[in-house]
Amino acid sequence: MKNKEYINQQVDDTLGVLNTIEKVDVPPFFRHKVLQKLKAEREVKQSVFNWFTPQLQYATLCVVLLLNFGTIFYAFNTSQKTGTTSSGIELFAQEYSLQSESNSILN
Amino acid sequence: MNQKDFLEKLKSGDESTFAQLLNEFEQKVFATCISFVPNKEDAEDIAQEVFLEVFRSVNKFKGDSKLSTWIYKITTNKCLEFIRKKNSKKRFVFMQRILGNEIPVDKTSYFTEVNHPGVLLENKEKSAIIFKAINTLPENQKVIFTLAKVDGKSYQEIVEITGKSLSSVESILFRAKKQLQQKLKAFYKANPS
Repeated sequence: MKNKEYINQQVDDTLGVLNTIEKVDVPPFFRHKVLQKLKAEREVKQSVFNWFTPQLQYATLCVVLLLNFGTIFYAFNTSQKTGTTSSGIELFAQEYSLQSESNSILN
Repeated sequence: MNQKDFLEKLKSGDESTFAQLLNEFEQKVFATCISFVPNKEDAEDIAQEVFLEVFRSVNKFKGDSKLSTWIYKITTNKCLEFIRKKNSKKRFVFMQRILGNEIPVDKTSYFTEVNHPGVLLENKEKSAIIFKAINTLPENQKVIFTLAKVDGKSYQEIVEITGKSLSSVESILFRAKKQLQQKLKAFYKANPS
């Protein structure tokens, strides 16, 4: 019982410590340090590619993607047409018996 | 100067306005930081980061709340970020969370060294215990309890910062206090002095 009361007292005392915490002043030169860091950040931002803004980056990405898709689409379409043309020529040759079936070197 | 004009000048990147902002808020922000992270050096680093974030993000601030509320929100988030980062390095706490176990008030698992200049010497031991106990609370309880009982913010301020209702804040605070009492009882039972 006494132990329980003692523990409760300890708990109350521990929680009560929060009411005794005094105000801590902001460290000296804090403002100066923040302004220095801000200045350093600004200097890093003003780099060679400062003109390459996020909007420009996005636009460039879109153009590159469009070019890629366009090229792939064109290449795919071209290969399909070539395939169709080849089979058309073969069919024509077969129809008019122009295609040689012999594999002999003498022919 | 009213808030609107002040904000316009801040957004335009006016340095003297930013210096004025620093002047007005440095003490308050630092006080909140050291309430969450009771280490003077860490609290100073976090407070610096808060102001840099304010400067970076001021153009995103729509002015739908008070400037002070917005700054306190950033402060709270930066403190929580710091605590999460440091806590995740402590594998013991991580595993306890995963296993769903009660996180004990363990002096060795705290994320920083308790070095709060505002704590009286005779209360150093107990202050370390209470800060560590607060750190084991669920995040929402930790935030509200710290803002209310350590940083001394009013309920209205806490409502604005957290976006919760007054009844919610009161309820969470009540639960936080109950949990802390239980944790401290368990601690003192296991560690009789």
